[in-house]
Amino acid sequence: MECNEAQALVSAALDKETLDAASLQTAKEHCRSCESCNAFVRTLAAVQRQPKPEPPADLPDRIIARVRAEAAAQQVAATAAPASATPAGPSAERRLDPRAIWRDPKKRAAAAAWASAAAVVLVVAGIATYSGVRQILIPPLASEAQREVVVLDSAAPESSSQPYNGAGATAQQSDGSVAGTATAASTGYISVNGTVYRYAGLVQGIDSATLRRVGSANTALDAAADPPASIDVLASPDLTRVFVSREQSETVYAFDRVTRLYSNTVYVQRSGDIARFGEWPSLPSGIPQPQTPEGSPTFTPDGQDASGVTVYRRTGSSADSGIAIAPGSPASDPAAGNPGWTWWEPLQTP
Amino acid sequence: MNYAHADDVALVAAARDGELDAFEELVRRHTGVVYAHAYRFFGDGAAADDAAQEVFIKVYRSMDTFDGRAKFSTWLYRITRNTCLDMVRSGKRRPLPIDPLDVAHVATSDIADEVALSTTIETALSALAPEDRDALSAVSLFGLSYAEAGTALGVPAGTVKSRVFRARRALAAVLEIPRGGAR
Repeated sequence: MECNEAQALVSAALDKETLDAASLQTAKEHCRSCESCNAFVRTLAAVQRQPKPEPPADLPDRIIARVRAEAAAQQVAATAAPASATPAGPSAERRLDPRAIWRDPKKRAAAAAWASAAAVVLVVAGIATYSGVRQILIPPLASEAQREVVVLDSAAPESSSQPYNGAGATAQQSDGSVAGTATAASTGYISVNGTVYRYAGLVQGIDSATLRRVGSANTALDAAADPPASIDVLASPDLTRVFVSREQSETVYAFDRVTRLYSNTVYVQRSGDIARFGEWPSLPSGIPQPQTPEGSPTFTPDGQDASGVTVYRRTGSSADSGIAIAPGSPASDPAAGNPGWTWWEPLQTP
Repeated sequence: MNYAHADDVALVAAARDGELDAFEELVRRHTGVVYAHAYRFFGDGAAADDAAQEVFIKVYRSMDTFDGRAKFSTWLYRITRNTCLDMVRSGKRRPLPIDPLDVAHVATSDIADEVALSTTIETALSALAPEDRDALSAVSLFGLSYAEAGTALGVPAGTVKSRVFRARRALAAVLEIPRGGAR
């Protein structure tokens, strides 16, 4: 028996793999008489006996304390949220026409006052419950630079920790493909004229006088069982935040434009339709899926952004026409959690 | 309730229902392997401590995504590995550089000295090629089969087997443990 074969058999036996008994016996006999194989077995034995690095004795207690704090924060959020905001989900909505509120100046003023008061409660609740809050609270409108690093729901996309080559549960992308690298559905996205917006929370009573219609989104929002429908989209003047509402509902869903910075340029995320919450933005239809984890042949590495995330460009094009990000970007990244490649184009200022 | 005898899947189910004591049992049961993996990944106790905390916070937040089709340890291994990688990618932590002399030292050191040998083995493990060390960690620390490790790493079982074997060959080459030396 060759040394390599004998060592491989002994190695596999150590890992409790099922092996042919006669072959294993031959391998053992070989290792007894062969000096180099004997040294290999001695190393295996030494490494096997090696005690694993022991954590500090109080580490489990510290971990448990953090988990309990997070659980308590979630409980606070769960009890604070119903008093201050309409819970997510169609069953909890009151069936009122938001357009009536928006049209009527008196109702609009009352709603705006209510929203202001609610916002105060929400902000207080948000402070009390820090990042583990599952009920999203509406932050004040932020600058583009601030917004691009905001992670609105740190609890939902656990899959943000999943790199490209990690296997696991599947996640649906908006192009219908199923990626094998994520463990959770997305927080909630819509695509408006191809630009991606991320769910930011629920609001009631919006001053529509400051908003303008920018198009429609084909989405079922958070109604998992409903087919997607075309819904009008209103936007803030700077287009960083959009609002949509279901028919006959006073609840308005707010979304923030998803952007990233690279090479002193603001890029907006682009995707095809995103049918419902839980689906991730995917590559727009004109961009083929890469065939390898390195992005080829579609993409070529262009550089790294300030966080060290590798940025790709279309092979044969420059980053001026758009950039791509591979799955597995870190939790602080705007594409965190997405199980597939994402596409970003320079922000076009009006 | 006493969860000491409950299996991991039952603990996850109970924790999902809000039983924090069940989650506590999971933490106590698995902190050691998570820490050990992170320690060998970073070569640094403080980073391993941070990583272990992050891992269990992520486990807690994503328990709903554990469907029980894979073993809990397979799922935990994947989260552990990815957490360590994310910490490096985000710039929070960097693996400590390994000085080859620290590993080469074993050939000339008194290997009867258990402490010296143990330290050298740890250094040699940290110096393995990352993909080989990952595979070895999955199998020897987390107790996964080649197939389970393959699932977690996204590679065929045969690739895991090759990587584990390669890791052990590399250790044998660098440690050069003489007859009787390792007892």
